[in-house]
Amino acid sequence: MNINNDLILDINNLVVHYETMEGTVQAVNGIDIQLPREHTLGIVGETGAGKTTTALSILRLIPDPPGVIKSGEILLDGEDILKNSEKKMRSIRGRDVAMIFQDPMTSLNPVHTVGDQIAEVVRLHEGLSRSDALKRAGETLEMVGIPAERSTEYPHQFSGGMKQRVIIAIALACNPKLLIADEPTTALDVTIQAQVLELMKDLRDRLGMSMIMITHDLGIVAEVCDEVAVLYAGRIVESGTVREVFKSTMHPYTEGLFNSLPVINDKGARIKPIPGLMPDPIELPEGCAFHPRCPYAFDKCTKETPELRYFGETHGVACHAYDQDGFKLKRRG
Amino acid sequence: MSKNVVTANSVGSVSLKRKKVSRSSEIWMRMRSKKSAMIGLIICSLLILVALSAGFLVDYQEDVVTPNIPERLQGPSMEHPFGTDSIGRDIMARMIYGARISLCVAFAAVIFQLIVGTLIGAVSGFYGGKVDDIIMRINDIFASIPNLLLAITIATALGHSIINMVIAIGVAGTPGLARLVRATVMSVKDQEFVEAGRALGGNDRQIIVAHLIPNCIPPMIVEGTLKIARVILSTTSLSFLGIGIKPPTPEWGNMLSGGREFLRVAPHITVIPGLAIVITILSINLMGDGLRDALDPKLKR
Amino acid sequence: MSRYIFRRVLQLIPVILGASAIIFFILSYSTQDPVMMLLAGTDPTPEQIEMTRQQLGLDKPIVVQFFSYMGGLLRGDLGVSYNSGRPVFQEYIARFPATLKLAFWALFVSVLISIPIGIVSAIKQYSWFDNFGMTFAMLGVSTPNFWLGLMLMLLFAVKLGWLPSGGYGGLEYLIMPAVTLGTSQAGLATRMTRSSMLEVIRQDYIRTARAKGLSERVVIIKHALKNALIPIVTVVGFQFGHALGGAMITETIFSWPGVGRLMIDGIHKGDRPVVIGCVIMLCIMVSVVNLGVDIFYAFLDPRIKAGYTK
Ligand SMILES: Nc1ncnc2c1ncn2[C@@H]1O[C@H](COP(=O)(O)OP(=O)(O)O)[C@@H](O)[C@H]1O
Ligand SMILES: [Mg+2]
Repeated sequence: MNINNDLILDINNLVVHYETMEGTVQAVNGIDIQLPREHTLGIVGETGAGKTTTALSILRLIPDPPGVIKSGEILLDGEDILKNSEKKMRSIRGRDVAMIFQDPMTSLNPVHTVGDQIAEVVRLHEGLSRSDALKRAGETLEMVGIPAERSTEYPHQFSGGMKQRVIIAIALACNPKLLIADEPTTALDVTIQAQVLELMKDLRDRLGMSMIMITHDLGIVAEVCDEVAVLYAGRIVESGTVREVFKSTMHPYTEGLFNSLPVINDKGARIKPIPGLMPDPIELPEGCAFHPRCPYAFDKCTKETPELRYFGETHGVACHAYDQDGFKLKRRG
Repeated sequence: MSKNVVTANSVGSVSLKRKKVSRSSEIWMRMRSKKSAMIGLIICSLLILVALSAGFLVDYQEDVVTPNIPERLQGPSMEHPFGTDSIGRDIMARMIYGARISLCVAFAAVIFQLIVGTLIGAVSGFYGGKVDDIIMRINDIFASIPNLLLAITIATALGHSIINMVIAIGVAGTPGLARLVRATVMSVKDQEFVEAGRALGGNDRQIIVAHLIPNCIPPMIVEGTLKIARVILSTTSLSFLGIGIKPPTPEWGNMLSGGREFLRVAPHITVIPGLAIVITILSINLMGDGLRDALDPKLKR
Repeated sequence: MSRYIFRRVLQLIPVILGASAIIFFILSYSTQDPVMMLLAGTDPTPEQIEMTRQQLGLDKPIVVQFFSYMGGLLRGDLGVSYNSGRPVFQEYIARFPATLKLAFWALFVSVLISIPIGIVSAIKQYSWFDNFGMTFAMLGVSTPNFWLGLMLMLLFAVKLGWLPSGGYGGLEYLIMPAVTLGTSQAGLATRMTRSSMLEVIRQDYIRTARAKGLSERVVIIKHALKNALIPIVTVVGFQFGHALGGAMITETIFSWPGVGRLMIDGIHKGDRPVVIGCVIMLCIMVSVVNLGVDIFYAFLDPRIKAGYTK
């Protein structure tokens, strides 16, 4: 089976900048994403890596100004959405592509009932009457594990985890083809995180959705995703199946991410955080953006930006170190 | 390769240091980049200059208060650029002196408010508890009487001198300012550096001087500037209603008011002082807005 | 909710009594002698002066005067006007409809101008429209309304002769006062609308609304405006309350026979009961409108409503 012919999402060389008073923020600098139907892609990276910006680009919801999509194409079901009219985009948002945002505490409108906030999206895309839409809202709430009677309540009457369930209900109300979840559990308590994640996995499988799971938590990736892309300073530095990236890590940054995880069953191992900070995206360093923090960096890394190159069918890495014969990360050796 | 790391770090620390040293010049830079704020600043400076040099420019007895009936109600001309009023006095000369009076009253009233309001608000906010309760109860009762009304009542009781005007308007604006100071003090009080100061054994006075006052100053500067505009508005309003500074003392509000009955035959008596008031208040407001943005860039989006 | 309102009304009483006391004492120590002002132009004998003083009850110690006034106030008696001899409350009620009419239409003008301009300025931040809107608002807050009123009068009454220059009657008498008061209120209200909308439209729930595919109009009106309304209602309510207490300046310019005029005349004539009565009524108006605004919040924001019923 050739999955490449059946991509739900195909992003090519996407560049997104924020043109602010302080300077141009180079948030996304030429990324490629291929997502097969009914697959789940994880996007990992530190805060500020450009994850949210990438996700918002797919809905064309980058705040403008200051955000500008400088170049690239975003093919949704084979159609370039960057060429769509605003009206066409509105019919895609919420119906074909839905998004779950990071902070459930602030993502619901405090002055409308949750039922109304769910019903609104069904009325818009499926032309239901108000009462039918409210009924659907109740059903959708049940689906995410909230009693339908609570649809007349307001967001402040729900806990954080419950709010996130409401947001999931809004996103799933119209059975989208693609669900983008932007750190859906970051703001939640650990115990609630597991529940919400389980719910999302379950619904994804039941509804046959494709999904992008944005997170900085590698554990979530391992649990939920098929493929993963590691983002650093607006570029994909490593991508591949979860197995490839986790078992045969190739990029020094990915290695750093793994090293900075606490290892529970190995008491002797120490957490080794990556030294330094993410570079300021207004003044990205020349060459590989990671070189100031990279223990393997050499001359070329300060001058040329590495391209993603493939080792095997799906495993891509953007690192000059592999110019050297027999180079291996310490972690594997 | 480790060399790279070092360079990157040192660059970072240098720029950090530069930022700290030049905070005031950074504020000035931001202020300067805003055209409207600069226009406001220039006009305000000119007005202050005119007010300060009023004594050199015109003779108070001769040009400002002595009637000159034969030349009454003349429109603008070479001799009288702004025309003459209903008893023939040169409007430009009166406006120059009026600038001095209006600005003096405004500055004095705002300084009054800042001193009294800061005292009340700081004590209330810093000590909290019972003291705060009592002070704020009384403050709220004063605040429940609308500003202009309180000023009118006090001015009526005291009479119409310039000093009384300052007191009336000063007192009327104080409760609002006290609230603002109190809120600022309370928000600063709970911040970490104050706690740290306490933990390090600082006493109340040291903490007030070292932490509270410096942190309250930026909002006070902005509020003080905008207050001057509001006070000018109040002063001229009172004079307009015949409750403020009385003629023959030239004050923009009473000059304007004096022109009302001659609106048909000599509109310039009303138009010109009014324009001066608008320009003055406008430029102070522009400056105040610019100052606020410059002092707190986070507010500006 | 009704318990909340009851509590608020109860809290109002000491504030209004306190404000009345402040005004009473300020005026009692006035340098103007109401007796002399009342008898002005009659060249009175010392006996006449003394008699008038007794008639007005001004011969008693101030504390006695104060308690007798407060006693009356608690029974709803605002005293008797020195000049007309009629109860102050009656005089006030006779003037109130004119003030109510002016305050209402000014509110209408202000809201009609400020809300649309504020909203568009916020969603098109830094556009030419925003610049225009903010220039307008800045001029609005910087222009004293006595001057604006006189300039309108100069143009529409003196030069063009389209509108009467003052007085009370049909719509033609109302236009200039309402526009004068309304536009001077609109400046602040426009700035408030813009800043409140700017604050709201960068909230996460607005992004959620856009991600649903809603049109910009629905996003702004249904999702943003309702959230932005609270500070706007506060400002507009504050202005309305003050206008209800008498727009002294506007009423003076256009000889509008409202309570603001009543009070200014009272001041000029030394009619102390009228002045105190007007101030008390104004404080009551402002407080009642404030309470109305607070109750209105509950309809805008369920969280506030929940707080009230607690
Ligand atoms: N509206 C905006 N204006 C200016 N810069 C922005 C804006 N939104 C995001 N950025 C910048 O773009 C970069 C990427 O941000 P984002 O996509 O939110 O990262 P992530 O979701 O990975 O944390 C960051 O440096 C961030 O500061
Ligand atoms: Mg993010």
